[in-house]
Amino acid sequence: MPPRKKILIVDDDQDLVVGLAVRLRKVGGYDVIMAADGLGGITKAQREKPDLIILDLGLPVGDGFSVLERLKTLTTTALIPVIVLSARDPGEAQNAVLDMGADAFFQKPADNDQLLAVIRKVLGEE
Amino acid sequence: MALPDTAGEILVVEDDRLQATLLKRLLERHGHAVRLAANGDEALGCLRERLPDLVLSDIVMPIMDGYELCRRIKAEPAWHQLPVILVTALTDAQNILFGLECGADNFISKPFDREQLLARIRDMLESRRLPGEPPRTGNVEVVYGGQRLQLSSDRVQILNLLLSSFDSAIRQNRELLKTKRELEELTATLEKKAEDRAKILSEEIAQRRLKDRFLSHVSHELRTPVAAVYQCLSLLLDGLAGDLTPEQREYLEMAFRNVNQLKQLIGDLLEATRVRTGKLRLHPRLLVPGRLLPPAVDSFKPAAHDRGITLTFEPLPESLPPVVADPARVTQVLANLLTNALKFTPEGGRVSVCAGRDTLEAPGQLCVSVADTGCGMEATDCARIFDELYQVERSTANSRQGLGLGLFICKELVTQMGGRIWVESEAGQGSTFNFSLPLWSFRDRLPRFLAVPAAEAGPELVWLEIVLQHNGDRGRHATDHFFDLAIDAIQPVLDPVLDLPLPRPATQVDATAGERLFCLTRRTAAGRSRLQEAIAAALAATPVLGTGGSGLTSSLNEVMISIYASADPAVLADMLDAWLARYLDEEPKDDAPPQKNLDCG
Repeated sequence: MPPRKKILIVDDDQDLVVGLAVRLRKVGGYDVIMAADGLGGITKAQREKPDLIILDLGLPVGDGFSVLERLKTLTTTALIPVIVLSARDPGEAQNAVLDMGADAFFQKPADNDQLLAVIRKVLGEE
Repeated sequence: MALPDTAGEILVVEDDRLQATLLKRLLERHGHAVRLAANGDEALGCLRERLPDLVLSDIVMPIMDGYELCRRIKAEPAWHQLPVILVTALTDAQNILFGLECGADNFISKPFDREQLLARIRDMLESRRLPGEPPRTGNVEVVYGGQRLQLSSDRVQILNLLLSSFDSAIRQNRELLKTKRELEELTATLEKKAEDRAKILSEEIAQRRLKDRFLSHVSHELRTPVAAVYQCLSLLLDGLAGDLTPEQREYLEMAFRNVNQLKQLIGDLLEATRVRTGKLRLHPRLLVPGRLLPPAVDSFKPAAHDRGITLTFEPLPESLPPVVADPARVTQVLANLLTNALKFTPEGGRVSVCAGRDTLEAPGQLCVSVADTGCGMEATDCARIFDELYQVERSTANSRQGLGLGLFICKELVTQMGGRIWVESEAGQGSTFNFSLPLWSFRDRLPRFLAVPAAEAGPELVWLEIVLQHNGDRGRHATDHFFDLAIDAIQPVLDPVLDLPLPRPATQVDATAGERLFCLTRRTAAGRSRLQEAIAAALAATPVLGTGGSGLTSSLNEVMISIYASADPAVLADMLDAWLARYLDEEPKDDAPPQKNLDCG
């Protein structure tokens, strides 16, 4: 049996993160680790080398944009796919994060099935 | 009433009845006896009857004008001492000279004021010459404006005239000054008003901006907690926290429905703000109606079934050309119309969707209709149903109103995509909501850009298609580089004349699909080899990318270039329309997201 893939969620909204983590573990079959701020996100991404990062934009200690920028410049994390999950207006944020190297943008609250489908696609599981 | 001796009798010669009556009344009030004559001829009759003490005559009159009347009076020895006052504009030298030439004794300038008129009459009556005094004629000849005029006026008459002219000039000057002052005051008031208005306007704009920012902020802040509630509820409903009793499930579903509604409202708020502030961005592309519409309708089947409503989709007519539209927005509009239709249709009712082309309301467009057997609406509602924040008055309390933004957003979206939206409805007879989208074919479009003159002789139309197939999840970077190179190399040779709404399908979800570059251009025969050279050069540069950086190796595994060229636009158009149908048909499943969780509660 192949090892379970690991997803890092970087979001300061603990209520949302807990629910999403349960879903990703139970429905998606992934291991889930969490970070509640930008700095923690970068540190965990470097140390744990997740297969995918789900990133919020409005974060304490380094907002999502600077986290994304950093992730894409560090050699250890540059190739980890990133899905941005934010309450921001997609009209303003979507193109910006895609240009910065994110693989997808979802606005909160995201449709569970669509989010999972994209996670699977980005992880090459389809 | 006995008249005082000095008042005297006046013959007023005036063709305007109203003016004459007003003058008569004024003069009578000041003790004069007044006779009226409507023109010069009538005046002469009056004079023959009895001589008045003074004649006051207008100038412009039918039959005989004032100058002629005066000339006749002064030519008659028995009458020539009778004072004649002419009412004249005294606006130019010509008037004055004519007045002098006819021998008038005095002048009143038009428009006169009462005091001035009465004073002039009084002066004239007092300075009447004694009977028998000989006229002091001058007989001066004056040439003015090419006309030779014989002035028979005496010195008194000339002096009177000059005084009148002077008086009139002073008066006019005074009036001019007054008008100028009034104008200045008016200008100042207007400037003040404009300033105030500008201030109010800028305050309004600032307030509107503040409101929009506030709404956008509120919507953003609401999303985060709603996302958490949504996530937790769906965990429970999906059985991820254990089994539910039917009663628990029922309540949770109720909560879930309402969260979805809240989600929709928050979305509408933000969307309406975006529409109003012009921040709405559409991504139009060519779409096959047959691939876009059915899945959108199908996603509503479960909701319709739950409510006991039959939802049908009529098969589309054969060979519909593609439409130009933003697929996500078309789905959004259709979903909104379907949500409303299901909301206002009673159990056992029917909602049917159909699409066709070239309707009366939208010729040359694809028209999509959503018809229901619901409560319908009055004509007044039909006219305003797409207005922002408009709400239909309802007697039934079972359905919530919403914010009145959904249809407003639909209208804006459809309009921005180049279509129309309208409704046909009658109270109690159900409603049919329709929207249209522009159809697209090379047949229709080619003639338009053929009008663009070619730089060189012998132009040939070229359709260039480059397809890159890549397999890695980071292949996008490699293809981006290739396209940049290819465009740099090709651009100097080609002269692009048409921007097709065919974007490179670099969608967020589709990281592994092939990418295509299209352009339709003109090319001269001489440019053919240069085009080939350019493409070859671009291709030659590609392998460098393949080995250049980490992660890019083996990301490009297929490059295909197709060129369709023809000097006959009709041939090319048919070729391309056939190609387009094939291309759109083989395209991977459209990226319009399914609206699974959009509830109709």
